[in-house]
Amino acid sequence: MRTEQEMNTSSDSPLPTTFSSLPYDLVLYCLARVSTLCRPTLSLVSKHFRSLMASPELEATGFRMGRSLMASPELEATRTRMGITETYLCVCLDLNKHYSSSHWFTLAPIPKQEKLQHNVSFPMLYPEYSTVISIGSEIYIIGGTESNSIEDWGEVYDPKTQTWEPVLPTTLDLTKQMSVVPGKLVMGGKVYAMKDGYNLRLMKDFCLVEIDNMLYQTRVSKGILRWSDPKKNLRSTRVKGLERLPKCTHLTLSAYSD
Amino acid sequence: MSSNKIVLTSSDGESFEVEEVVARKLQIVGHMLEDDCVINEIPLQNVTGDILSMVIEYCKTHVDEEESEEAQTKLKTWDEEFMKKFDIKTLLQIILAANYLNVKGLLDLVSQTIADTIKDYTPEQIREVFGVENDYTEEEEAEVRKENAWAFDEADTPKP
Repeated sequence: MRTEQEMNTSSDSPLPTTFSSLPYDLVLYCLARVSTLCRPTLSLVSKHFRSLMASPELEATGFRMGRSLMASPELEATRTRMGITETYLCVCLDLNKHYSSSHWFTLAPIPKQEKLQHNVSFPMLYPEYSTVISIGSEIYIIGGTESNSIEDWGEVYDPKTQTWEPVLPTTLDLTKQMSVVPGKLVMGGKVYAMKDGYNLRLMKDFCLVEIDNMLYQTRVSKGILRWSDPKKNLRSTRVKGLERLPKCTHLTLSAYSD
Repeated sequence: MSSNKIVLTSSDGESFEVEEVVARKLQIVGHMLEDDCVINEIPLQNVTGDILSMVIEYCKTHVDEEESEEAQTKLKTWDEEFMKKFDIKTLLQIILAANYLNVKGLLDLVSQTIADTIKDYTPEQIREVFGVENDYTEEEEAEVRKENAWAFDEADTPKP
């Protein structure tokens, strides 16, 4: 039996021992497993790394927003072949007191720190009390409008292509039976307080986000985004990295997978 | 299960006698055995003895892949401990060997370990640890940084 020290001396052999000298498909095989949120860091390593990360077509069209999260076709194909998916957490915040300016932010964990960081935001205009729900890799915004046209009742956002499309709510099955807020009615990611029989009152402060088939309760209170884990008796904890939010922040959360 | 023994010889002439079921975990060997079933010594040109011994250690442990959750958890723990033994340079050689010998499970394990290492590193650390040369000029690097400013911006308040 060899000792560990002997094992590690193998680096003296003439075999290639740098990452870049690995065969191309092995490099892709490793990089495909790294989160897309690490791509800006990887792009900075070298020009070769950057060429693996960025899609040449997007470069050509000058498409800037969110470009860094788009991989080269080879890397994307490798991810698809390997069946790799990721879940991202998105926050929609309205940071302006005087007029509606809601923006979505994808949150990225900072390595080795219990902090979240926002990336490029994508703006949207949506009715204030609509329901936000993520299905697969897309985010649906349903209802909350007074419009008589069914076309205005819902929108679906695809983070990959960064496009909004109208969606007809009647075609979707949004009736998931999930409730983790005791004594409250939960429908489509919104929390409703029950009063006087069947009169419902929407609790604007609360928002639910679905992660791994579990609903998590979130709220902005005194400028701090709070988060309750149903597995931990709904005790709320502060979300680190999103401090100093305006007091009247309107909050919507969603999680999507690519 | 066959208890037939196969001798695997590395590029530097080191020989390992292993059971046929273990040797078959190396798909390159599996294919050779299918082509000619009387082989009992197989030279493996592209892998040195020290790396081959680790591949064999992995294959021996994974020879009975039981379905039970308990067995799977145990294997997973073993995999994690096994990977901790190696520095990056050794990992790169193991991934080359796993690719050449066609051991899918080990290829997945090592590539995931490398990916997990990469995700926690800064660009400088990745260059240093993986032996990648920085071919950006200062201006170019600043430009790439600017494009992805959100990822490098230390500010913690979102700015739409």
